[in-house]
Amino acid sequence: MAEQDFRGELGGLTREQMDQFLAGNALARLAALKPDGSPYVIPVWYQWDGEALWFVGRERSAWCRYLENDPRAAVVIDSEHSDPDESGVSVEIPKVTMEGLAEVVEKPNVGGRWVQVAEEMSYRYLGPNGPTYLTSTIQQPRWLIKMVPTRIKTWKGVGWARKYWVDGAGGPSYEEAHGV
Amino acid sequence: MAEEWRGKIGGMTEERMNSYLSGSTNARVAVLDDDGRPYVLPLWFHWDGHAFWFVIRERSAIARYMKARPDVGLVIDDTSVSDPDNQRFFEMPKVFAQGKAEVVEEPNVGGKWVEYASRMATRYLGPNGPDYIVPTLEQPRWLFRMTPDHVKTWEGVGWAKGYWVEGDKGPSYEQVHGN
Repeated sequence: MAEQDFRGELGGLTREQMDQFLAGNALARLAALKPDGSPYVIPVWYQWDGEALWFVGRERSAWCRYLENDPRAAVVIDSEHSDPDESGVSVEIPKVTMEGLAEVVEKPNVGGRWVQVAEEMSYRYLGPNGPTYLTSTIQQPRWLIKMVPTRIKTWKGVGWARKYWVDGAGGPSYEEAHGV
Repeated sequence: MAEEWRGKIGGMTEERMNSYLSGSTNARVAVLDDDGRPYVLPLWFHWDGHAFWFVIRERSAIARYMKARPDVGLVIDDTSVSDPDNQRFFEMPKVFAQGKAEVVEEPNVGGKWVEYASRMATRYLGPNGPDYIVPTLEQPRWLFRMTPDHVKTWEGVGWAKGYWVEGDKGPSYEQVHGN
């Protein structure tokens, strides 16, 4: 990861908070480029292994073809709050954005490595019986796509990042509006 | 038989789409950055039946990008939400839209955006929503409008028939979807 904006940024998540949030069941919204260069965004299951995001796509899904054609991708994973940790503390409005190049690890196939990734995802998104819900479509060919982010940004809470605040526009100061 | 948990499968009627878009789900909005790469963020939106409206802070990169390259793609989706009248749940509703954004107002204080922001605050934050935005009302905002030239909707857990690959292996589409 070239840039690690998530470290120490005001309002950013710690690395631990980020990994914990990404282990929850929020969906990723993945943006790709259509052949005409315009953006296209879809909700999709993901798996984060600490280094890369993994995606499993149906053979005929347009976004997989788009990523094969042009690997530039961006992802946002956000939620109203994270799952509570062991002490019951959750993060309010966590957001993680990532940019990077997508890599096709497996072209559409039946029975490839994607099956294991899809099963791991299904536990997170559907619960302990997740894999049983997959069985009816497991013979449908899927792509396996990986994205190693070259840039990660995180944010939490409802406050503004300081840099967005225009001082002297009238109204309260940043500190007054944020109680700091 | 289709399984109960799948909910209704298929596209939404326009009425049902309008009902869903009057809820409190964020849009995830993708634009192109200075290099033409995709950039995606969650944003509040207002849907007026024809166009999506966005109120954006002056210094947000997404506003600059949207002005420079007006191509926008967005998705509004949920796992499960009740409809505004609590009559019927939306199971895995999705609305995809693509089109060009236009700047309606450059960053300003007190413009037409205030009315849109207040309506959005009520939808997203509840009846007291407009009170919560008071401390930032003096912060300049952009007002953008995106009129979609392409909209696609989907509802339910099932696959659209067009995605199903028929072959020798595994059940048929009809066997899995019960119709």
